[in-house]
Amino acid sequence: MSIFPLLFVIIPLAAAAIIAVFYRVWERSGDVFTNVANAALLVLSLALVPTVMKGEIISYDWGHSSSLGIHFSIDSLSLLMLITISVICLAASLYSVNYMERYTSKPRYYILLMLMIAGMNIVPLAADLVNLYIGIEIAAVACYALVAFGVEHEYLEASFKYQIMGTVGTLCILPGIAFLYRMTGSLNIVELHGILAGQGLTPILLFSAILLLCGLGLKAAYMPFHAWLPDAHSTAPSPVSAILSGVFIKVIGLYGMIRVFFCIFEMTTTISWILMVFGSISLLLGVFLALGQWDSKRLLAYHSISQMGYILLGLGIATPLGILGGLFHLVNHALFKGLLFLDVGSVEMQTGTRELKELGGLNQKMPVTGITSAIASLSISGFPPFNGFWSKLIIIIAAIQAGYPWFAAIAAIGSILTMASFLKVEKYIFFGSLPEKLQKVKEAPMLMCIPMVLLAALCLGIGIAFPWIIDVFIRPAADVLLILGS
Amino acid sequence: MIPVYVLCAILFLTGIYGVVAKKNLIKIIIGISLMVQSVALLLLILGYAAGEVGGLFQTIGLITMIGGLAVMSLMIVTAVRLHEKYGTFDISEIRRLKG
Repeated sequence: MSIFPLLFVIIPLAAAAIIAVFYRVWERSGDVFTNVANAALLVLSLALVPTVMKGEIISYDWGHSSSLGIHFSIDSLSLLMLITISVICLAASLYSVNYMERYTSKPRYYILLMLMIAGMNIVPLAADLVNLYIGIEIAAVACYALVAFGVEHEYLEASFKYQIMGTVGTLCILPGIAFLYRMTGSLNIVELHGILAGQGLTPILLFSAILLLCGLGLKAAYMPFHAWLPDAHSTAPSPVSAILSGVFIKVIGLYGMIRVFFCIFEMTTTISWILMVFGSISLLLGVFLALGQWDSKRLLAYHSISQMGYILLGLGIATPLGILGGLFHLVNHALFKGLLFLDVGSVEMQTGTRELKELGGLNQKMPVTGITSAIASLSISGFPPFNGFWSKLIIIIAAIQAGYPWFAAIAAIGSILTMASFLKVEKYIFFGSLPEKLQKVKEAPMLMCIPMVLLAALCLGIGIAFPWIIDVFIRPAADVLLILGS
Repeated sequence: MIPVYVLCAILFLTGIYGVVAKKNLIKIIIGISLMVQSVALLLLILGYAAGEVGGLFQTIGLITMIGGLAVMSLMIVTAVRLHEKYGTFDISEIRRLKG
């Protein structure tokens, strides 16, 4: 019993409340409190590393001992997610200070952002399925509003699409949870694993597993369920896009899937094949659709689908190495995709366009953005020694070791196509000749460069120090799944 | 008991039909609303079948309705704003995002 898990929810909620009260009196209260709260969350999550990564579980219980009441617990997988959320959210909130000046009512943006972070933090903390659902719902509702924040034609259209798809997803998750509870009498994830262990899947349990797969798949935007993602991620304000692509889809969709299919249901070959096939379809089709895009943010959004495919492929292989690679790629993707969205956002802010054909030669005018985006592009295309290379390599090796050479080949082809499409981004935005009307472009303000440099340094640092990162952060998290899965 | 489960399924599928087949934003929202109600009904029936009073199923049912209400009001606001911008509720005319 410890108060720590509760702090992850209280801090963002308190920051939202404080901003709501003070923004009329003090205009900059939003800038200050959001960044302070996010920095506090990062410090808090890093402070828990020594205890939790040794295998200890920090838990907090409030209310009844049964499934009623609030039950939070932090194991090493949850902590990995919390750290990733905090890093990306801190970068995005620093970036927002200047970027969000373009929009009206900035304080409301910060309030929604903090609510979304509170919801996202609840999901990894949740020890039972209802809390997981509530976290998903809080984050999703705040996110719908954030996507529509510009209230122009495109924003509203994307947000409406997302609202419909997201709500259908939620309404699949709920009956799934309800049937599971009806059959087992428990909602606690650890208890459920004990109850279902050794049992075969009855038809109703199978039905609930399918409902959960569809509902969480809609949130994670795998290939048959991806229709909303390119619209929502490309129209949202750039820092929101960075959070959405970087951590939101992973926390809301993928983490729930990991918990349900590794920690509750036993990982069977059927489920493993379903995950791998979904993963490789998303991987290939996502990158093919990305190749044809000329809107830079839309291109990045399609790459999110493709990179989520890698993560699902790695997890679906379900060998220790595959899970390790999947989780490592999850962290890496959060870093470089967040960075790419921030880069494209600063290009859009300084030039007023995100059409690739209208840009060019910005390396001379925006050196920081140019260098950081080159690092991110090399990372996402799997170029050594950047972080994306190692995680993709681990996934491919795991696929070959497990006897799936075709999936390994698909992953390698996807990586080459990714590189092709990022060569296009780099060439059209940062290299080539500078168009006449972009002669007066200046580098983005200091506060926008700091998070970009920070994330680029992390991409390079993790790539160089990857054995240490894997030992300290990734392997304990993968062990949680392996112990439960075996 | 079985007829009530079937009723839930029919309500849910009617909602899906509304979301998938209808072109009017308001009709899509009505479809979502039907789906929310069918899930809430399902939860209450499951609770009744389990013989519980004031238990977890009813709690989740309430949460469903509240969550549904929040999402639905957001959808209606978005639909009204979309009507202001595009002058129509017809989704086949609200198509700026492509590709």
